Order: sequence, then structure tokens, then C-alpha cells
Amino acid sequence: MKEKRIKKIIIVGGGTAGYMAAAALTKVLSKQNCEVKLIESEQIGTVGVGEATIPQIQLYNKLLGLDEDDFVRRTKATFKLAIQFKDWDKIGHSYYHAFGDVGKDMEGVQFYHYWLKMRQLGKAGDIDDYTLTSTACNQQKFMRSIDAGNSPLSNIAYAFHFDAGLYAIYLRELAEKSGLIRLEGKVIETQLNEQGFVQSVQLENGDIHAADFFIDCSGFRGLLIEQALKTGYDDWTHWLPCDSAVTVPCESAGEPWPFTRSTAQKAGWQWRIPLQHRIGNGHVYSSKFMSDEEAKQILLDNLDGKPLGEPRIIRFTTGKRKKFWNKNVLALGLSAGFMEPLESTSIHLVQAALSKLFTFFPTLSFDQVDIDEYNRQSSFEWERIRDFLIVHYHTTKRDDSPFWDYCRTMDIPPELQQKIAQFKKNGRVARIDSEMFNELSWFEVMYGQGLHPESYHALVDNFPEDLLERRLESIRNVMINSVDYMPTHQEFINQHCKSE
Amino acid sequence: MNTTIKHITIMGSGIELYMTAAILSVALLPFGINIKVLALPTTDVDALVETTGPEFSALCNILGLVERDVVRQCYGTFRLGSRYLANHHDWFVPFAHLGLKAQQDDFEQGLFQVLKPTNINNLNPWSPASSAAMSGKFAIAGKDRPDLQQALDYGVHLDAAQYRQILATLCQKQGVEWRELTSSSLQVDRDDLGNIGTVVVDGNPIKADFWFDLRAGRSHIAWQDWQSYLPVTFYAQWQALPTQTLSPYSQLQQLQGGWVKTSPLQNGKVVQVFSHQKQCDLAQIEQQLITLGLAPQSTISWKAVRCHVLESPWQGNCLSLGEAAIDLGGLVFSKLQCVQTALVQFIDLFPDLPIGEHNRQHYNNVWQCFVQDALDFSAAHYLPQSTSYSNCLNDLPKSLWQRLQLFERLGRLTPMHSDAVSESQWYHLLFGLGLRPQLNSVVLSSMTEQQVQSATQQVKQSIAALVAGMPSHEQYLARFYPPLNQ
Repeated sequence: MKEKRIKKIIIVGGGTAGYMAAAALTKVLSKQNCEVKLIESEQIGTVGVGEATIPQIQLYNKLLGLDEDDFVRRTKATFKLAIQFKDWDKIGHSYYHAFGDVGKDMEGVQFYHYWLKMRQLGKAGDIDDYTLTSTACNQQKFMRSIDAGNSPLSNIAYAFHFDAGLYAIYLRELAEKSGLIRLEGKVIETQLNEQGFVQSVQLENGDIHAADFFIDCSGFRGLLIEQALKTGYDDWTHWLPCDSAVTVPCESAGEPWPFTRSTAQKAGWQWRIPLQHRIGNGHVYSSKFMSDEEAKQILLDNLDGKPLGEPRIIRFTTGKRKKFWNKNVLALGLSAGFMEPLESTSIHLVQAALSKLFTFFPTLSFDQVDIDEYNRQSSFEWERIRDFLIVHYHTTKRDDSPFWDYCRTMDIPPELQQKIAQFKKNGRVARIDSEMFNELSWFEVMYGQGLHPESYHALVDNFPEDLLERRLESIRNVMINSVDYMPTHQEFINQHCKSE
Repeated sequence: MNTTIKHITIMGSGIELYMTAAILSVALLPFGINIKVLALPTTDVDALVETTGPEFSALCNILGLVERDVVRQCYGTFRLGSRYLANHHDWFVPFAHLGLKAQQDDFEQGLFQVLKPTNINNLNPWSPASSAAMSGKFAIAGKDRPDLQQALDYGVHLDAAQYRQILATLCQKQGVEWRELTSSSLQVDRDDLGNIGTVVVDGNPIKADFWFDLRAGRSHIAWQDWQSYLPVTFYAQWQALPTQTLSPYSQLQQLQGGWVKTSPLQNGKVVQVFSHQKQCDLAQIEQQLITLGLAPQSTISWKAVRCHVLESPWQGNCLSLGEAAIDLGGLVFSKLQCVQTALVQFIDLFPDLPIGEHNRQHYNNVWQCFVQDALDFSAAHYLPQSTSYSNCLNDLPKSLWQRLQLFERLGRLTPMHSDAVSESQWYHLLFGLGLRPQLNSVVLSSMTEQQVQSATQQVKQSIAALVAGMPSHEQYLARFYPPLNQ
């Protein structure tokens, strides 16, 4: 069996995905058994501008054995409790997609069903009042979980905003310490063997590097997965019509918020990602509905601080490779596909792909059954996230531009149609298998988007109304008291992980 | 304008009927929903024993029953899983996880790596539950040790008649309206969409907002026939004298042409036989039972079985349950377990009136997830003997084939669709069936063979020490769970 082992891996590309792969592979694989090489070119820029994440990133950090405070300091990161969606349903309205629990479930029925009823009766406040992380966002508070019994402070879900460039450097250091061989050079040619497997890559300086297994992190162009192996691409632009982004960082404006803000614009949306030293900004738009100049101007007009540099335009086609893993090439990051960072899923998809790679790690025989299963599971994950993104666009009530008219009236995937129909009917979320976003995420976004269910869980009506009113009031008070106890986001950073 | 369901009627017989009425009454009566039962004469032979999984404790909580009282009243014994005497090996499938902790990075794969060059054919020493069970030990861990509670997760064996009595008392206490019928034929007025309008009983029409139908053998229903995957053709059961020792497990022994399952109770043991022979060949099974010393005193009374499932058990305003919805043969999943699962799913989706298609569709989809996992696990007990199943795609459900393939290659499991079966049960079953993963975990590649071996050895030693301090199952029962009816 030993002679069948993968002994050489080459990662092509050194952005966030490339170094996430390098750090994980060098951590897991013994360098005596397997050489991991990363080839990157400084001539080729990376797309990363400031990354927002979701709580699952903590699993990746745990795999690497990261000291979280050190990681936050080094990447000038801030903490993230939610995404705020502004002007998505209609102009002037906003809601949070908050991490963690909402209220407290009762009698086996999820809290939000009780809330739906009381809200309909005008006897409940905003859902944020019953959600620890939303309340904390409103007051710019943050802390990690503490041992506090039944208090919601015992279970605070959070993620990070960080500087993608610094993150890549941080991971590079870790990977190099663990044996990563990093080469500077531009890949200009790929050699295939008789079976069509990638045999080696040639650099501009003429050097040829061979490997058993290649990880393509070369970005949108997919140097190996597409240019060499012609894998093909599923285009999802008809469902997610944005195809461009213009990005620029700006100076910080006051204390960093513990949430990402996504503001819907005339033909797309704008992100605001607070870091310790600046704010990352970007405007995602559809070039069919808006010119680059106009997009750039909207971005600049809506910055909270002075821009730090010239805005940069990025083009993309939303969708995914027909196969994420083809022969001996695995596509990761932008090489695998692209979904706009509306729900901060880019890093998660890299992390999930690495986790699956370890599960299905190949031998030199590259058994198709493993590759097929990897691709099947990955496609499922991508498609369900895609549906979650589509729901933000499709359920809008905005009719102030042709872009939103298109989104509101476009056809959507059948699974999503069913999900929306059921939610409208009775507030239930028909989650498919183990899709990544849970029922609460779907509830928060669909309700926030103005999909107000006709009904709720049928058993709620039989819960005494006066008791319910008292319970809701009590939960609201618990949230207020808990958030009172929390330090501000800035205080927490200053105390634990302030960057130099 | 939506309204709440106010009247529910359940039609059926047997312990499944009592369980349905008990669960629905506890969950729904507090909300003012009226539960009526039309109890048909039992045409089938009731099970003698009910074997549960770890869901039993939660079920007692739901029903407001004191677990200890139920076990004592039902001559109950505990089960940490099932012992298998099959494929010429003796192995164990526990409910609980392998190793000392529930979540350990690639412990299972490390263990498979260590065992690959050996002739060891079971994982018992590396599983606290298996080790305890095979040593005849049992104890319930205290609430201050949630880790041990997980490691020794258990179900129970209960005397089914006693259990039914407990459920009947509960239904009575709950105020369920119970009507015993003398005839098993009901005139059910059902429209094309599956909605039941009325059911006529003794000339009187009965109406309800929602119906539960547990009547077996309805011929007009289109079943998915599972005979090719679950080839059980005949079933028999009888009570035998108590064994010398009360094992904390059910025992499944493979026969030529079937399985025999023995379940210990404090007042005797129950033998169940699942044959996949033709009627004319049942004598061969009986001969094997004599050889094993398991034959009954009297003639065996065989019941014909055909495994099947209803693809969409919720039609209109009626949910089919029990044998009316699924028959998995009974070797691994009892009918009652399937009923409980279905009811929990239903209550979670409890509908308004008029009932939306979305509720039905959602329920039927979730049901199919359970069915797929349960079918795969049950069908794995009827695999042809082989050390590789890569060429068996046409003979197996595709999802099972994928599971076997993945395990054979990488020692891993495809994602579960439901919580019908734990990962640990799959690992033990597949290993016990003789499958050995070909490849080592890449996650462990930075460790030397000696390091992996030493780590698994340490776990084994810790488990042995833990089990050594446990009381025997018999001591534990005698001290804390003596039968109430002695």
C-alpha cells in the first residue's frame, strides 16, 4: 500500500485558499511522507480584500491549533456576531442574520413560532430583542462565552472579520514552520500524462515541478482545473446576476462594529467589514444593470471613512466547476467557483473542501468512487448555499430599479420555491439533509426579507397567551441583562487581542 | 382562515395503537385536542418483547413515566447494544461511541489501521459499552458524568404485555376516548386526495379533523416492496425459560436461512426467529434451533412476513403508521420504534386546517430520510458473505452500496440522513461483517505506527479499568430494578 501513497502535492496559487490548504496539509501530513509545495507569483495579485467569516471557522483554527488572540492580533481582526442587511427588503428597513440562538424553545417548539404569533398580535418586540447577538450588535458589545449556567452568555456564537492579506501571511508562516516549500514563480504551462492527469507545471524561469496531486488555487482562471483539464463550469448568473465588484478600503470610523453590514444598492449591494486598522468595503453589482463608473461612485459615496487607495474592479461569473475534483486536480477557493460574499461563505467553503479532502484523501490510483462522492457532497453544499443567497434577492419588495425587478420576478430553483412556499404558509423551514444554514438562519433571513408567514406552529395557539406574554418579556429582560454584562467590542479587543 | 385541529381519531390495534394514543394524548391533550381511539380486534400476534434503543429514556420523559418503574414493571433488562454471532465471528454493535470520548479526531480510523494486520474481528475492547456488555456488566452513569452516560448509552428489553398495560393505563389517565370494536372491518370514506371524510362504525358515522391509520394489510395501497433487500419471509416468537445470566444485550445469531434473536427479560427470555426460507424449508431452521437449544416446547407457529414501505404515508388528513406504513422485518427496528419516530416527526410538523400540501410533503420527505437509513442498516444484515461489495451495486440499495464502498476504502461513513442509526453502530456492524478499510487516515499520517498503536492501547487499558469497576448487570438489576410483580 505504501508505494501507492501520494508523496508530492503542489498547490498552485498563494491567496487565502492556497495558504489555508498549505497550513492544513502541512499540519496533517508528515513531511517525511509527503512533500507540500506552494507556487505563487507576486506578479499575480490576490482577490482578498478583507474577509468576513462564519462561526465554523473555529473548527479550522482548532485543526491548526491556533491561539485565537494571537490570530486576531496578527490579522488585525475584529469579532463578528451577525450580518446586518440594510435596504434589502425595502429601502429604510434592516435586519440581522445573527449567529447563535434566538429566544428559548418551549415545549419542543422553536421560540420563533411563539414570537410569530405574539408579533401578529402586536404583543412582541422586534426579534432582535430576543436574540443575544443582535442585541449585542445594537450596543456594539462583545465577549466570548463564559460558564454561566443557563444564561445565553454560556453560548455565544461568533466569527471574525480579518485582513485576508495578513491572514495569508499568518498561515504561510505556520505552514512554512511545518515544512511547506514555497516557490516564487509564474506557472506558464501544464504537462498532462497519457491518461490526461496533470504531471507537472512549468514556471516562467523554465523550472518544471512534478507532483502526484495538485490543488488549484489559481483563482477565477482555474489554471489547472479549467485551462488544463477543461472541466467545465455551471453558470448561475441567471439566479445570482451580479458579475462585478469594486473594492476599496477606507479609514476606520469610530469603534469597530461587531457585525458585517450589507447594504442593498440600485443594482447590487455593498459590504462593510470592520477591521482593527481600517474598514474593508466593496460594491457587488451587475454590469448588465450598472456601469463600472456608477458602481465606483456609489461605493465612494457610501464610505464611512477616507478611502485608502484607488478602487479596484473584479469580474466574476457566479457558479461552480462541474467537478471540484477532476483526475488528480482539486479546485479550491475561486478556482472551484464563485459565490458572492453575501453570507461570508467563501472561507467556509475552502475549509469544508479541505475537511472533505482529508476524508477522501487519494492514493496514486485516484479511485473514481471517492472522487465522485467528494464531488457529490460538495455540489450539494454549494447548491444549498446558492439557494440561501438567492432568497435574499428574490424575496425583495424593491421595485426602484430594473435590477430588483429582475431579481423579484426571476425563476428560482425548485427546492427553494418549496422552501419559500412552506415558510409563507406556516413559518416552517424545510431544511434539506444537513445543509449548512440551519432553520434559524433561514427564518431570520426570510422574515427579515419581509416573508411573513400566514401561520406558525399549530401547537402555539394552545399555549396560554398571558403565560406566553410573560415568558417573552422575561426572555427580553434576560437578553438586556446579559448584554449589559458584556464589554464593548473595542474594550474586549483592547483587553485581549489588540493589534500592534 | 386557519383553524386548529380539534379532533383526532386513531384506528388500529396492538401495542402500536397504545403507543400512538399515549404519545398523542400527552403531547396534544393539554392543548385541548380530543383524541379518540377505534381499537380493532387484534388479528396479529402481539410481540412478546419490546427492544428499544437509547430513545427509551427520552420517551419516558415525554410520556411522564418514571423509567425505573417501567423497567421494573416490565421485567425489564438493559441492553447496551446487540451481540452478533455471525460470519463465524462473535462481535458486538453498541449504541455508544468507540473510544473514551464521543468526538475524537479519526480514532476509529486509527483503530482500523492498528487492527488491519491482525486477526481481531471485533472492536469490543475499544468500546466501553461493548466491553461492559461482553463482560456482563452494566451501570447507568450519574448526571455528573455526561461523558460516561454517552459512552454507556443504553436501551431496554421490556415484557411487551406489561408495557402495553402501562401505556393503556396512561391513555386512560389522560382521558383518551377509547372504543373497542368487535369487527376489524371499517367502512372508510376516503376521497381521491386521501382525505378521510367519515368512518362508519356499527352504522354510525364518525368524523375527525385528522386520522391515524395503523391497520395492517390494506390491499389497495401501493407499497414499495423490499423483499429483495430484506428477504424475511417468516417470523416466529416464543418465551423460553430464563437464562442463567441476564446479559445486557440482545443476541443475534445467524442461521442458515435466517436469524434468531434472543432478548433477556427478568421473567424469561424471548426468542424471535426471522427466516428467509420458503415455507417448505422452515424445517431446516427448526432443526438448527434444536441444535442451538433454542427450540420451543411446542410447535413453532410461523407468520408470513413481507417487508415493505409506503412512500408517502401522509395523504390528505390521514397519516399511516406502524405496519400500515412500514415493515422492516423486526430484526433491528421494532414496529414500535418506527411508530415513535413517525409520531415525533408528525408532532414537530403539527398542521393547521386546512392541511397544506407543504406539511405533507415535508413530513413525507423527512420520513424517507429515516426510511433510507433504516433500510440500509437492516439490509446490511442480509448481505451475501463477501470481503468486498464493490461489485454488488445491483443487489443492494444504492445508498448502502455507497456506504459499503466508502467504508471498504477509507473506513468512513457517508452522511446520515436521520438519527435512525448511530455512526458507532455502523462502524461496528461493518467491521463485524468482515469489511476492512484499505487505506489509512491521512489525518493520522504524521503519527508513526507505534504512536497510533500506543494511543489505541491506552484507550483499551482505560476502558478495561473502567469496566472492571462496574457491577454485573444482574447485580445492578437486583439492587436497583427488581421486578415489581415478583
